[in-house]
Amino acid sequence: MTRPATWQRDMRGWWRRDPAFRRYLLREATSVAIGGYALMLLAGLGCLAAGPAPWQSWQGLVMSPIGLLLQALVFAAAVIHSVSWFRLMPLTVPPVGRPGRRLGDTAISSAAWVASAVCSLALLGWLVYGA
Amino acid sequence: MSIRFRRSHEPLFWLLFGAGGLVAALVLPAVVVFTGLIAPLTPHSADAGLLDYARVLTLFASPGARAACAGFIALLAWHAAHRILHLCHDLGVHGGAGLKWSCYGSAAAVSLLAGGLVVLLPSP
Amino acid sequence: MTDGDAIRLDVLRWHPDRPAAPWWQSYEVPYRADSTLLEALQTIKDALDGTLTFRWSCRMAICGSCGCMVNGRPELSCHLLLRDLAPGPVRLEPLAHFPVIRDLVIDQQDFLEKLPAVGAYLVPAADAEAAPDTPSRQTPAQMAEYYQYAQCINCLLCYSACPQYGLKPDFLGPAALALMARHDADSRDTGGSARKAARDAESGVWDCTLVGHCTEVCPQGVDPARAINRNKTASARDYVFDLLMPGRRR
Ligand code: SF4
Ligand code: FES
Repeated sequence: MTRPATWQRDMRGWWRRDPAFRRYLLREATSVAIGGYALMLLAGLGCLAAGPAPWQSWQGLVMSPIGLLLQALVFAAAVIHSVSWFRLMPLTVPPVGRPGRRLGDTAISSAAWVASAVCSLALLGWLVYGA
Repeated sequence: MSIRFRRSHEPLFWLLFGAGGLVAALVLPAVVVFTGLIAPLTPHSADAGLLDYARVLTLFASPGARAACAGFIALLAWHAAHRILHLCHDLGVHGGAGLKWSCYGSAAAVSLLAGGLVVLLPSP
Repeated sequence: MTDGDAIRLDVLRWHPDRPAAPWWQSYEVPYRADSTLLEALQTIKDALDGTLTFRWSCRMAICGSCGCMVNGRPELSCHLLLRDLAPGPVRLEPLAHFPVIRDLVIDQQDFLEKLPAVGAYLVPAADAEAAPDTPSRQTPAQMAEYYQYAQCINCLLCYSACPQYGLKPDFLGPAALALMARHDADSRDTGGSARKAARDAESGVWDCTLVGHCTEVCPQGVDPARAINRNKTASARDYVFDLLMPGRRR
Protein backbone atom coordinates (compact mmCIF):
# COMPACT_ATOMS: atom_id res chain seq x y z
CA MET A 1 0.00 0.00 0.00
CA THR A 2 1.47 3.38 -0.91
CA ARG A 3 1.45 5.98 1.81
CA PRO A 4 0.58 9.59 1.09
CA ALA A 5 3.30 12.20 0.88
CA THR A 6 3.87 13.71 4.30
CA TRP A 7 5.84 16.28 6.21
CA GLN A 8 7.15 15.79 9.73
CA ARG A 9 8.80 18.11 12.17
CA ASP A 10 12.02 16.92 13.82
CA MET A 11 12.56 16.70 17.57
CA ARG A 12 15.20 19.41 17.96
CA GLY A 13 14.60 21.38 21.16
CA TRP A 14 11.44 19.39 22.01
CA TRP A 15 11.62 20.50 25.67
CA ARG A 16 10.86 24.04 24.61
CA ARG A 17 7.35 22.99 23.61
CA ASP A 18 5.88 22.50 27.06
CA PRO A 19 6.85 23.40 30.63
CA ALA A 20 5.92 19.83 31.60
CA PHE A 21 8.86 18.63 29.52
CA ARG A 22 11.24 20.96 31.32
CA ARG A 23 9.97 19.77 34.69
CA TYR A 24 10.62 16.22 33.51
CA LEU A 25 14.18 17.07 32.46
CA LEU A 26 14.79 18.78 35.80
CA ARG A 27 13.66 15.60 37.55
CA GLU A 28 15.99 13.52 35.38
CA ALA A 29 18.87 15.96 35.90
CA THR A 30 18.77 15.39 39.66
CA SER A 31 20.59 12.15 38.85
CA VAL A 32 23.71 14.11 37.91
CA ALA A 33 23.87 15.63 41.39
CA ILE A 34 23.06 12.29 43.00
CA GLY A 35 25.79 10.58 40.99
CA GLY A 36 28.26 13.29 41.97
CA TYR A 37 27.37 12.86 45.62
CA ALA A 38 27.90 9.11 45.32
CA LEU A 39 31.40 9.83 44.01
CA MET A 40 31.99 12.19 46.92
CA LEU A 41 31.00 9.47 49.38
CA LEU A 42 33.15 6.93 47.53
CA ALA A 43 36.13 9.27 47.78
CA GLY A 44 35.43 9.64 51.50
CA LEU A 45 35.35 5.90 51.88
CA GLY A 46 38.69 5.64 50.08
CA CYS A 47 40.24 8.30 52.31
CA LEU A 48 38.85 6.63 55.40
CA ALA A 49 40.48 3.37 54.36
CA ALA A 50 43.75 5.17 53.56
CA GLY A 51 44.24 6.66 57.02
CA PRO A 52 43.73 9.71 59.25
CA ALA A 53 45.61 12.22 57.06
CA PRO A 54 43.70 11.56 53.80
CA TRP A 55 40.49 11.47 55.82
CA GLN A 56 41.34 14.87 57.24
CA SER A 57 41.82 16.36 53.79
CA TRP A 58 38.57 14.82 52.50
CA GLN A 59 36.79 16.36 55.47
CA GLY A 60 38.40 19.69 54.67
CA LEU A 61 37.11 19.53 51.11
CA VAL A 62 33.61 18.51 52.15
CA MET A 63 33.40 21.35 54.67
CA SER A 64 35.04 23.94 52.43
CA PRO A 65 32.77 26.71 51.09
CA ILE A 66 32.70 25.07 47.65
CA GLY A 67 31.99 21.68 49.19
CA LEU A 68 29.10 23.12 51.19
CA LEU A 69 27.72 24.97 48.16
CA LEU A 70 27.78 21.82 46.07
CA GLN A 71 26.07 19.94 48.86
CA ALA A 72 23.38 22.60 48.98
CA LEU A 73 22.79 21.82 45.29
CA VAL A 74 22.75 18.09 46.01
CA PHE A 75 20.23 18.70 48.78
CA ALA A 76 17.94 20.60 46.42
CA ALA A 77 18.26 17.79 43.87
CA ALA A 78 17.60 15.17 46.54
CA VAL A 79 14.43 16.94 47.65
CA ILE A 80 13.17 17.25 44.06
CA HIS A 81 13.98 13.58 43.64
CA SER A 82 12.09 12.51 46.78
CA VAL A 83 9.05 14.61 45.96
CA SER A 84 8.80 13.36 42.38
CA TRP A 85 9.66 9.77 43.30
CA PHE A 86 6.92 9.49 45.92
CA ARG A 87 4.43 11.33 43.73
CA LEU A 88 4.96 8.85 40.88
CA MET A 89 5.31 5.78 43.07
CA PRO A 90 1.59 4.86 42.91
CA LEU A 91 1.90 4.56 39.13
CA THR A 92 4.59 1.93 39.43
CA VAL A 93 3.56 -0.30 42.33
CA PRO A 94 1.12 -3.09 41.54
CA PRO A 95 -2.43 -2.49 42.79
CA VAL A 96 -2.61 -3.05 46.56
CA GLY A 97 -5.67 -4.76 48.05
CA ARG A 98 -8.56 -6.64 46.46
CA PRO A 99 -10.54 -5.46 43.41
CA GLY A 100 -13.11 -2.93 44.52
CA ARG A 101 -11.06 -1.94 47.59
CA ARG A 102 -7.77 -0.83 46.09
CA LEU A 103 -5.46 1.36 48.10
CA GLY A 104 -5.57 4.93 46.79
CA ASP A 105 -2.64 6.94 45.43
CA THR A 106 -2.60 9.34 48.38
CA ALA A 107 -2.36 6.46 50.83
CA ILE A 108 0.62 4.99 48.97
CA SER A 109 2.43 8.32 48.71
CA SER A 110 1.74 9.17 52.34
CA ALA A 111 2.99 5.78 53.49
CA ALA A 112 6.19 6.41 51.54
CA TRP A 113 6.65 9.79 53.22
CA VAL A 114 6.13 8.28 56.64
CA ALA A 115 8.68 5.58 55.82
CA SER A 116 11.07 8.27 54.63
CA ALA A 117 10.70 10.26 57.85
CA VAL A 118 11.21 7.17 60.02
CA CYS A 119 14.26 5.97 58.06
CA SER A 120 15.78 9.45 57.95
CA LEU A 121 15.40 10.02 61.68
CA ALA A 122 16.77 6.58 62.50
CA LEU A 123 19.75 7.12 60.21
CA LEU A 124 20.47 10.61 61.55
CA GLY A 125 20.19 9.30 65.09
CA TRP A 126 22.74 6.62 64.31
CA LEU A 127 25.09 9.04 62.54
CA VAL A 128 24.97 11.59 65.38
CA TYR A 129 24.69 9.40 68.47
CA GLY A 130 25.88 6.03 67.14
CA ALA A 131 29.42 6.10 68.48
CA MET B 1 2.39 -5.92 8.98
CA SER B 2 2.96 -7.68 12.27
CA ILE B 3 5.75 -6.33 14.47
CA ARG B 4 8.48 -8.60 15.81
CA PHE B 5 9.46 -8.15 19.44
CA ARG B 6 12.71 -9.01 21.21
CA ARG B 7 12.87 -9.22 24.97
CA SER B 8 14.68 -6.27 26.52
CA HIS B 9 17.33 -6.56 29.23
CA GLU B 10 16.26 -3.18 30.56
CA PRO B 11 14.56 -4.79 33.62
CA LEU B 12 17.95 -5.59 35.13
CA PHE B 13 19.10 -1.98 34.98
CA TRP B 14 15.66 -0.63 35.78
CA LEU B 15 15.49 -2.66 38.98
CA LEU B 16 18.88 -1.32 40.10
CA PHE B 17 17.79 2.19 39.09
CA GLY B 18 14.57 1.76 41.03
CA ALA B 19 16.31 0.40 44.12
CA GLY B 20 18.73 3.33 44.07
CA GLY B 21 15.92 5.79 43.45
CA LEU B 22 13.92 4.40 46.34
CA VAL B 23 16.84 4.49 48.77
CA ALA B 24 17.71 8.02 47.64
CA ALA B 25 14.11 9.18 48.01
CA LEU B 26 13.92 7.67 51.49
CA VAL B 27 17.14 8.96 53.08
CA LEU B 28 19.33 10.98 50.73
CA PRO B 29 18.10 14.41 51.91
CA ALA B 30 18.88 13.39 55.49
CA VAL B 31 22.35 12.10 54.57
CA VAL B 32 23.17 15.35 52.76
CA VAL B 33 21.90 17.33 55.73
CA PHE B 34 24.30 15.33 57.87
CA THR B 35 27.43 15.75 55.77
CA GLY B 36 26.67 19.28 54.64
CA LEU B 37 25.00 20.86 57.65
CA ILE B 38 25.02 18.92 60.91
CA ALA B 39 28.62 17.75 60.74
CA PRO B 40 30.11 21.14 59.75
CA LEU B 41 27.98 22.97 62.35
CA THR B 42 28.96 20.68 65.19
CA PRO B 43 32.10 21.93 66.93
CA HIS B 44 35.00 19.96 65.55
CA SER B 45 38.77 19.92 65.67
CA ALA B 46 41.46 17.64 64.29
CA ASP B 47 40.62 14.85 66.72
CA ALA B 48 37.04 15.47 67.78
CA GLY B 49 33.68 16.01 66.13
CA LEU B 50 31.09 13.94 64.32
CA LEU B 51 33.47 13.15 61.46
CA ASP B 52 36.45 12.40 63.66
CA TYR B 53 38.51 9.58 62.14
CA ALA B 54 38.28 7.18 65.06
CA ARG B 55 34.59 7.90 65.56
CA VAL B 56 33.67 7.20 61.93
CA LEU B 57 35.67 3.98 61.99
CA THR B 58 33.75 2.94 65.11
CA LEU B 59 30.48 3.72 63.32
CA PHE B 60 31.47 1.48 60.47
CA ALA B 61 33.00 -1.27 62.59
CA SER B 62 30.20 -3.75 62.11
CA PRO B 63 29.87 -5.76 58.89
CA GLY B 64 26.22 -4.67 58.62
CA ALA B 65 27.10 -0.98 58.64
CA ARG B 66 29.86 -1.57 56.11
CA ALA B 67 27.60 -3.51 53.76
CA ALA B 68 24.91 -0.84 54.06
CA CYS B 69 27.43 1.90 53.32
CA ALA B 70 28.78 0.15 50.21
CA GLY B 71 25.27 -0.78 49.10
CA PHE B 72 24.07 2.79 49.50
CA ILE B 73 26.89 4.22 47.37
CA ALA B 74 26.51 1.48 44.75
CA LEU B 75 22.75 1.93 44.41
CA LEU B 76 23.09 5.70 44.09
CA ALA B 77 25.58 5.08 41.29
CA TRP B 78 23.29 2.66 39.44
CA HIS B 79 20.41 5.07 39.81
CA ALA B 80 22.43 7.96 38.45
CA ALA B 81 24.01 5.93 35.62
CA HIS B 82 20.62 4.79 34.34
CA ARG B 83 19.08 8.24 34.43
CA ILE B 84 22.10 9.97 32.94
CA LEU B 85 22.07 7.47 30.06
CA HIS B 86 18.43 8.24 29.32
CA LEU B 87 18.99 11.96 29.84
CA CYS B 88 21.71 11.89 27.17
CA HIS B 89 19.31 10.20 24.81
CA ASP B 90 16.58 12.72 25.63
CA LEU B 91 18.94 15.60 24.90
CA GLY B 92 19.84 14.14 21.52
CA VAL B 93 23.22 12.69 22.50
CA HIS B 94 23.16 9.26 20.90
CA GLY B 95 26.23 7.55 22.26
CA GLY B 96 25.12 4.09 21.19
CA ALA B 97 26.51 1.03 22.92
CA GLY B 98 29.65 2.92 23.98
CA LEU B 99 27.70 5.41 26.07
CA LYS B 100 25.57 2.65 27.52
CA TRP B 101 28.55 0.62 28.65
CA SER B 102 30.41 3.61 30.01
CA CYS B 103 27.38 4.59 32.11
CA TYR B 104 26.70 1.13 33.48
CA GLY B 105 30.42 0.34 33.57
CA SER B 106 31.02 3.35 35.83
CA ALA B 107 28.23 2.22 38.13
CA ALA B 108 29.73 -1.26 38.26
CA ALA B 109 33.17 0.19 38.98
CA VAL B 110 31.77 2.36 41.78
CA SER B 111 30.06 -0.71 43.23
CA LEU B 112 33.23 -2.79 43.13
CA LEU B 113 35.32 -0.01 44.63
CA ALA B 114 32.80 0.65 47.40
CA GLY B 115 32.56 -3.06 48.14
CA GLY B 116 36.33 -3.44 48.22
CA LEU B 117 36.95 -0.34 50.32
CA VAL B 118 34.55 -1.26 53.11
CA VAL B 119 36.39 -4.57 53.38
CA LEU B 120 39.71 -2.72 53.62
CA LEU B 121 38.53 -0.29 56.34
CA PRO B 122 40.83 -0.62 59.38
CA SER B 123 39.17 -1.70 62.60
CA PRO B 124 38.83 1.10 65.16
CA MET C 1 -17.34 39.14 26.74
CA THR C 2 -20.03 40.09 24.27
CA ASP C 3 -21.27 38.28 21.19
CA GLY C 4 -19.63 39.62 18.08
CA ASP C 5 -16.05 39.29 19.33
CA ALA C 6 -13.40 37.95 17.01
CA ILE C 7 -10.28 35.93 17.75
CA ARG C 8 -7.18 35.34 15.68
CA LEU C 9 -6.17 31.78 14.85
CA ASP C 10 -2.62 31.15 13.59
CA VAL C 11 -2.62 27.84 11.77
CA LEU C 12 0.46 25.90 10.70
CA ARG C 13 -0.32 24.69 7.20
CA TRP C 14 1.32 22.22 4.86
CA HIS C 15 0.18 20.95 1.47
CA PRO C 16 1.74 18.13 -0.55
CA ASP C 17 1.77 20.31 -3.67
CA ARG C 18 3.80 22.87 -1.76
CA PRO C 19 6.06 20.39 0.01
CA ALA C 20 9.17 22.46 0.64
CA ALA C 21 8.07 23.93 3.97
CA PRO C 22 5.00 24.49 6.11
CA TRP C 23 3.73 28.04 6.56
CA TRP C 24 1.72 29.99 9.10
CA GLN C 25 -1.60 31.49 8.12
CA SER C 26 -3.74 33.77 10.29
CA TYR C 27 -7.51 33.97 10.36
CA GLU C 28 -9.71 36.46 12.19
CA VAL C 29 -12.75 34.44 13.27
CA PRO C 30 -15.95 35.80 14.83
CA TYR C 31 -17.25 33.76 17.73
CA ARG C 32 -20.00 33.56 20.35
CA ALA C 33 -19.94 32.64 24.00
CA ASP C 34 -20.65 29.00 23.20
CA SER C 35 -18.38 28.60 20.16
CA THR C 36 -15.82 25.82 20.20
CA LEU C 37 -12.44 25.88 18.53
CA LEU C 38 -13.71 23.27 16.08
CA GLU C 39 -16.56 25.59 15.12
CA ALA C 40 -14.03 28.32 14.40
CA LEU C 41 -12.20 25.93 12.04
CA GLN C 42 -15.52 25.14 10.37
CA THR C 43 -16.24 28.86 10.02
CA ILE C 44 -12.89 29.29 8.28
CA LYS C 45 -13.57 26.36 5.96
CA ASP C 46 -17.11 27.53 5.11
CA ALA C 47 -16.63 31.28 4.89
CA LEU C 48 -12.96 32.28 4.75
CA ASP C 49 -10.74 29.62 3.20
CA GLY C 50 -12.05 26.35 1.79
CA THR C 51 -8.57 24.91 1.43
CA LEU C 52 -7.96 24.54 5.16
CA THR C 53 -8.06 20.84 6.00
CA PHE C 54 -8.82 19.20 9.35
CA ARG C 55 -10.60 16.12 10.70
CA TRP C 56 -13.73 16.07 12.79
CA SER C 57 -16.86 14.03 13.24
CA CYS C 58 -18.77 13.94 16.51
CA ARG C 59 -18.26 17.54 17.79
CA MET C 60 -18.62 16.13 21.33
CA ALA C 61 -15.25 14.75 22.36
CA ILE C 62 -16.04 11.12 21.75
CA CYS C 63 -14.89 10.19 18.23
CA GLY C 64 -11.29 11.28 18.78
CA SER C 65 -10.69 12.68 15.31
CA CYS C 66 -10.26 16.43 15.90
CA GLY C 67 -6.98 16.39 17.83
CA CYS C 68 -4.41 19.10 17.18
CA MET C 69 -1.80 21.14 19.05
CA VAL C 70 -3.39 24.21 20.61
CA ASN C 71 -0.80 26.66 21.89
CA GLY C 72 1.64 23.76 22.00
CA ARG C 73 -0.55 21.32 23.90
CA PRO C 74 -2.44 18.40 22.35
CA GLU C 75 -6.18 19.02 22.58
CA LEU C 76 -9.51 18.02 21.04
CA SER C 77 -10.58 21.13 19.13
CA CYS C 78 -14.26 20.37 19.79
CA HIS C 79 -13.54 20.26 23.51
CA LEU C 80 -12.25 23.81 23.83
CA LEU C 81 -14.37 26.97 24.05
CA LEU C 82 -12.99 30.00 22.24
CA ARG C 83 -13.92 32.22 25.17
CA ASP C 84 -11.43 30.28 27.27
CA LEU C 85 -8.74 30.93 24.66
CA ALA C 86 -9.52 34.67 24.35
CA PRO C 87 -8.01 37.11 23.71
CA GLY C 88 -5.77 34.92 21.57
CA PRO C 89 -4.09 34.61 19.19
CA VAL C 90 -4.45 30.82 19.25
CA ARG C 91 -1.61 28.79 17.78
CA LEU C 92 -2.85 25.68 15.95
CA GLU C 93 -0.54 22.95 14.68
CA PRO C 94 -1.03 19.34 13.60
CA LEU C 95 -0.55 16.72 16.32
CA ALA C 96 3.14 16.45 17.15
CA HIS C 97 5.24 13.35 16.36
CA PHE C 98 3.06 12.23 13.43
CA PRO C 99 3.61 12.63 9.70
CA VAL C 100 1.35 15.39 8.38
CA ILE C 101 -0.75 14.61 5.34
CA ARG C 102 -2.18 18.10 4.96
CA ASP C 103 -2.67 21.05 7.35
CA LEU C 104 -4.07 19.62 10.62
CA VAL C 105 -4.57 16.10 9.25
CA ILE C 106 -2.01 13.57 10.43
CA ASP C 107 -1.27 10.00 9.32
CA GLN C 108 -2.40 7.52 12.02
CA GLN C 109 -1.11 4.47 10.17
CA ASP C 110 1.66 3.82 12.69
CA PHE C 111 -0.80 3.59 15.57
CA LEU C 112 -3.20 1.45 13.56
CA GLU C 113 -0.39 -1.06 12.99
CA LYS C 114 0.61 -1.07 16.64
CA LEU C 115 -2.88 -1.59 17.98
CA PRO C 116 -3.18 -5.25 16.85
CA ALA C 117 0.42 -5.87 17.96
CA VAL C 118 -0.51 -5.33 21.63
CA GLY C 119 -3.45 -7.74 21.46
CA ALA C 120 -6.02 -5.05 22.18
CA TYR C 121 -8.94 -7.42 22.03
CA LEU C 122 -10.63 -9.77 24.46
CA VAL C 123 -9.48 -13.39 24.38
CA PRO C 124 -12.25 -15.38 26.10
CA ALA C 125 -11.59 -18.64 27.95
CA ALA C 126 -12.04 -21.78 25.87
CA ASP C 127 -15.32 -22.74 27.54
CA ALA C 128 -16.74 -19.25 27.02
CA GLU C 129 -15.74 -19.51 23.37
CA ALA C 130 -17.46 -22.89 23.12
CA ALA C 131 -20.75 -21.50 24.42
CA PRO C 132 -20.96 -18.07 22.78
CA ASP C 133 -24.51 -17.38 23.93
CA THR C 134 -23.86 -17.69 27.65
CA PRO C 135 -23.10 -14.38 29.30
CA SER C 136 -19.63 -13.79 30.75
CA ARG C 137 -20.51 -12.34 34.11
CA GLN C 138 -18.46 -9.66 35.78
CA THR C 139 -18.92 -7.89 39.10
CA PRO C 140 -18.78 -4.09 39.30
CA ALA C 141 -15.50 -4.41 41.22
CA GLN C 142 -14.03 -6.53 38.42
CA MET C 143 -15.18 -4.00 35.87
CA ALA C 144 -13.65 -1.14 37.84
CA GLU C 145 -10.27 -2.84 37.38
CA TYR C 146 -10.12 -1.93 33.68
CA TYR C 147 -12.94 0.59 33.17
CA GLN C 148 -10.68 3.65 33.17
CA TYR C 149 -8.37 2.12 30.54
CA ALA C 150 -11.37 1.20 28.41
CA GLN C 151 -12.36 4.84 27.97
CA CYS C 152 -9.74 5.45 25.27
CA ILE C 153 -11.11 7.06 22.11
CA ASN C 154 -7.89 6.64 20.07
CA CYS C 155 -7.51 10.38 19.70
CA LEU C 156 -3.69 10.08 19.87
CA LEU C 157 -3.26 13.18 22.02
CA CYS C 158 -1.09 11.09 24.33
CA TYR C 159 1.30 10.25 21.47
CA SER C 160 1.74 13.95 20.81
CA ALA C 161 2.42 14.47 24.51
CA CYS C 162 5.09 11.77 24.57
CA PRO C 163 8.62 12.89 23.65
CA GLN C 164 9.79 9.28 23.77
CA TYR C 165 7.43 8.44 20.92
CA GLY C 166 8.81 11.40 19.00
CA LEU C 167 12.39 10.30 19.70
CA LYS C 168 11.80 6.57 19.22
CA PRO C 169 9.11 5.99 16.60
CA ASP C 170 9.10 2.22 17.27
CA PHE C 171 7.73 2.80 20.78
CA LEU C 172 4.27 1.24 20.96
CA GLY C 173 3.17 4.33 22.84
CA PRO C 174 0.72 5.34 25.56
CA ALA C 175 -2.70 4.44 24.14
CA ALA C 176 -1.67 1.07 22.69
CA LEU C 177 -0.01 0.06 25.96
CA ALA C 178 -2.98 1.31 27.99
CA LEU C 179 -5.24 -0.86 25.83
CA MET C 180 -2.91 -3.78 26.44
CA ALA C 181 -3.32 -3.23 30.18
CA ARG C 182 -7.07 -2.79 29.72
CA HIS C 183 -7.43 -6.30 28.33
CA ASP C 184 -4.97 -7.85 30.78
CA ALA C 185 -7.03 -6.40 33.63
CA ASP C 186 -10.32 -7.81 32.35
CA SER C 187 -11.52 -10.80 34.39
CA ARG C 188 -13.03 -12.36 31.23
CA ASP C 189 -9.75 -12.25 29.36
CA THR C 190 -7.23 -15.10 29.03
CA GLY C 191 -4.92 -13.49 26.48
CA GLY C 192 -2.35 -12.13 28.90
CA SER C 193 0.51 -14.48 27.99
CA ALA C 194 0.23 -13.60 24.29
CA ARG C 195 0.68 -9.91 25.07
CA LYS C 196 3.89 -10.39 27.03
CA ALA C 197 6.25 -10.39 24.04
CA ALA C 198 5.09 -6.89 23.10
CA ARG C 199 5.12 -5.75 26.73
CA ASP C 200 8.64 -6.99 27.48
CA ALA C 201 10.25 -5.52 24.36
CA GLU C 202 12.32 -2.36 24.26
CA SER C 203 9.59 -0.79 22.13
CA GLY C 204 7.03 -2.07 24.64
CA VAL C 205 6.99 -0.65 28.14
CA TRP C 206 10.78 -0.12 28.25
CA ASP C 207 10.95 2.85 25.91
CA CYS C 208 8.88 4.80 28.45
CA THR C 209 10.74 7.08 30.88
CA LEU C 210 7.63 8.19 32.76
CA VAL C 211 7.45 11.72 31.47
CA GLY C 212 3.80 11.43 32.45
CA HIS C 213 2.46 14.11 30.12
CA CYS C 214 0.28 11.51 28.32
CA THR C 215 -1.88 11.18 31.40
CA GLU C 216 -2.11 14.96 31.78
CA VAL C 217 -3.44 15.56 28.26
CA CYS C 218 -5.77 12.58 27.93
CA PRO C 219 -9.34 13.91 27.54
CA GLN C 220 -10.77 10.63 28.82
CA GLY C 221 -8.80 10.19 32.04
CA VAL C 222 -7.28 6.95 30.76
CA ASP C 223 -3.95 7.34 32.63
CA PRO C 224 -1.63 5.56 30.18
CA ALA C 225 1.38 6.41 32.39
CA ARG C 226 -0.02 4.16 35.12
CA ALA C 227 -0.84 1.36 32.69
CA ILE C 228 2.69 1.38 31.27
CA ASN C 229 4.59 1.73 34.53
CA ARG C 230 2.64 -0.96 36.34
CA ASN C 231 3.49 -3.18 33.42
CA LYS C 232 7.16 -2.29 33.82
CA THR C 233 6.97 -3.76 37.32
CA ALA C 234 5.20 -6.84 35.97
CA SER C 235 7.69 -7.21 33.12
CA ALA C 236 10.64 -6.86 35.49
CA ARG C 237 9.14 -9.45 37.84
CA ASP C 238 8.77 -11.92 34.97
CA TYR C 239 12.32 -11.16 33.84
CA VAL C 240 13.71 -12.06 37.25
CA PHE C 241 11.58 -15.20 37.57
CA ASP C 242 12.60 -16.37 34.11
CA LEU C 243 16.23 -15.74 35.00
CA LEU C 244 15.99 -17.77 38.22
CA MET C 245 13.73 -20.49 36.83
CA PRO C 246 14.50 -21.05 33.16
CA GLY C 247 11.77 -23.02 31.48
CA ARG C 248 9.08 -21.61 33.76
CA ARG C 249 5.66 -21.65 32.07
CA ARG C 250 4.57 -18.10 31.49
S1 SF4 D 1 -5.22 7.24 26.04
FE1 SF4 D 1 -6.38 9.18 26.13
S2 SF4 D 1 -5.11 10.61 24.95
FE2 SF4 D 1 -4.41 8.56 24.39
S3 SF4 D 1 -5.59 8.00 22.56
FE3 SF4 D 1 -6.73 7.20 24.33
S4 SF4 D 1 -8.20 8.81 24.87
FE4 SF4 D 1 -6.67 9.74 23.52
S1 FES E 1 -14.96 15.93 16.74
FE1 FES E 1 -15.09 14.02 17.73
S2 FES E 1 -13.66 14.24 19.34
FE2 FES E 1 -13.71 16.24 18.48
